[in-house]
Amino acid sequence: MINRLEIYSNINAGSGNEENIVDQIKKDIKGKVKDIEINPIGNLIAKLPGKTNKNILLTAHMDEVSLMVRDIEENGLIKFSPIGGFIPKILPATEVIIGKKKIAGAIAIKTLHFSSPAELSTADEIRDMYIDIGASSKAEANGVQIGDYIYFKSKFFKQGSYLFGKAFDDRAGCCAITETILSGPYDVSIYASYNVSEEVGLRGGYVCGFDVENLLFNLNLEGTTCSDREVEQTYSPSTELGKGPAFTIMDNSSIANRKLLNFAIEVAKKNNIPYQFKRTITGGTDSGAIALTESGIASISLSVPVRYIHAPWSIIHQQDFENYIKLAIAIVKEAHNFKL
Amino acid sequence: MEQYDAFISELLKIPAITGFEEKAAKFIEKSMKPFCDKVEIDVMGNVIAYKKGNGKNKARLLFETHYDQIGIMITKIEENGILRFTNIGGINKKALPGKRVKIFGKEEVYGIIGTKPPHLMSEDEIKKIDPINKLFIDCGYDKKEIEKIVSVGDIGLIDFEPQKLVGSSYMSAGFDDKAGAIVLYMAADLLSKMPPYHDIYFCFSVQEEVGLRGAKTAAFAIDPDYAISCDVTFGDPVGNPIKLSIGKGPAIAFGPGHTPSFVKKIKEIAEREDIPYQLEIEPRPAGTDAAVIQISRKGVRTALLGIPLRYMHSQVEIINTKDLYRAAKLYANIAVSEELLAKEQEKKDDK
Repeated sequence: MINRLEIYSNINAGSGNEENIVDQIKKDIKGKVKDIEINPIGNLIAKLPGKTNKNILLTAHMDEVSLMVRDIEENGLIKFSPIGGFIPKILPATEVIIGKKKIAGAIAIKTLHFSSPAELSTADEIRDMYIDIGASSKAEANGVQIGDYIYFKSKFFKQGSYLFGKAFDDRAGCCAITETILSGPYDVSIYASYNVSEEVGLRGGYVCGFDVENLLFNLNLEGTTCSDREVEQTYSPSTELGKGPAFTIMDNSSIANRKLLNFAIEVAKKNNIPYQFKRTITGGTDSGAIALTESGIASISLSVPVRYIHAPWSIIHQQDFENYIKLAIAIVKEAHNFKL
Repeated sequence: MEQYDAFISELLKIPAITGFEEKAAKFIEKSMKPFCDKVEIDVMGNVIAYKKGNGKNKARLLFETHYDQIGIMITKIEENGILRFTNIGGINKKALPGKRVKIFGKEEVYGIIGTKPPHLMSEDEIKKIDPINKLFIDCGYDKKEIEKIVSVGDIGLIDFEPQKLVGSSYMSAGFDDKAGAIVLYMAADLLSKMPPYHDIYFCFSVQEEVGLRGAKTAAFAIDPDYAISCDVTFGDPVGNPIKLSIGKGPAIAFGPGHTPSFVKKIKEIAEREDIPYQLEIEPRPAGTDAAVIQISRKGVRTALLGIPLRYMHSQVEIINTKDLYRAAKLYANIAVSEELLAKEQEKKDDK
């Protein structure tokens, strides 16, 4: 389980550039599912028939926040644009890998010695930043192309019960679907959609629920914000690490279907799996797009808490991750009993 | 150049945080032994390697660099297990948010310099860079767990993995001033094939980053006739008032901190040997070990070679390895140049 997360997390796949993770997931599930298809915008759809033809839609997104090469300047420096939401101040002095040729470099930082006190206490804007690959001319930077994806160099590791790496949002969810499929079949049939381009506006989410027959509900598996480390908490910590996977009641994109939410909570209780609620309403997930598909789909999001999300390094708790997958599987096992 | 790869990558991996240079000292001592007649580590932690010259009119030459690098120190463990820290040497606080830190506690442990999720930051928080004392390191662990590994006073580094870049560029934390240490190592290697005319003292100094301290006592002990320090200088491609570039050779500094006749000779040797170099104006002596060596004892004739470097005092410092080799070649050619010091020597003899 942890090994799979390591593999998924280390794969580089930004919004619109999901091939590498698609290949890995295909490899992991192909012996188990009935068929795998790639829909017109790139979602990977896998079906695992159950005892009944009632479907549940399992979703997670494959893309991670990344950057893209916007221009290569005459002096060999590389301008870039974000793909997904970043706080600019986490970027300077970060090691990155660019494009298919995996050119190494770093996001540059204005040297301390030339910076005024005002500059040192104000974050730079992304449009003013650039990446340095050690080149001194455009010719020397010829391994880099406009449009290349740029990724954080972070590699997964485990320290105690804590898992460190990038892209847990939402490779954790991809792992949860894969593990759920591999633990099947179930009474219900699984219609799994590993979605593309969530980070740029739930693109995969908008189309994944279309034309799914006999659909009971959608369980969307995510990684969510966790901000529990400030000593003086002046706001809700959103979620807390180690206290179990989190249900979203409401965020910027959706309000969870209450019947479905209550059903899932009962499953957690029955199976003695700890859970918590996400206690901020910021952010949005594919769940919001799925809920509004066709004439409406009952949808909830279950998330693993991720400290320092959308940053070069995130931390999750091993137990949260294990309980998250356990709970996803338990919900699927009981899904045939759900009534709207 | 490939023959130096192993030394370079190994040196870059060994932490040499200011005041805590011991491990790196031992590595440098071991590495310099094959090239030198004598290597010792002094009371401060300076590594001083001596190679005897074969000249009749030889002088005592000090080839100096510092090998300490900036780091952090743990100042407090909070109730929830997060760590507060302070800087050792000048750290750019803009390089910190979201980065991985390696702490040398009872064992090595990683932590992340935490930030709030983007979704929860206010406009002000997004724009503001926090001072270091407001930041924290999260190793995952709670207080009980982390206290078994980390204590107040433990040191650490902003983590990095040395990385070769395009061309001959190389990126790592700590090139300030392991770059200089690499240069001296290369120079010592070159001098094992071209015996020096002068007595050469290679000095790898400690505690430069907190005030040029190691070089002060080393210069006293060595009592050189001439000294050439090697440190990094500004090779940033953008916003750099110094206008030096990486890959165009070491920068020979001139200004009141450096002896004009000596600097002139170094330039002549560089030209004679076809070693590309740049010039750096240093209007007042400051900032490098050369400044304290110059005023050691009765005064020392000094010069400074700067290795151009991008993003100084961050974990992504970038240099060009060609510049290192060129600086080493220049050092070696100075060491074998009898005529270099002839006039100065005559003056000395006259007295």
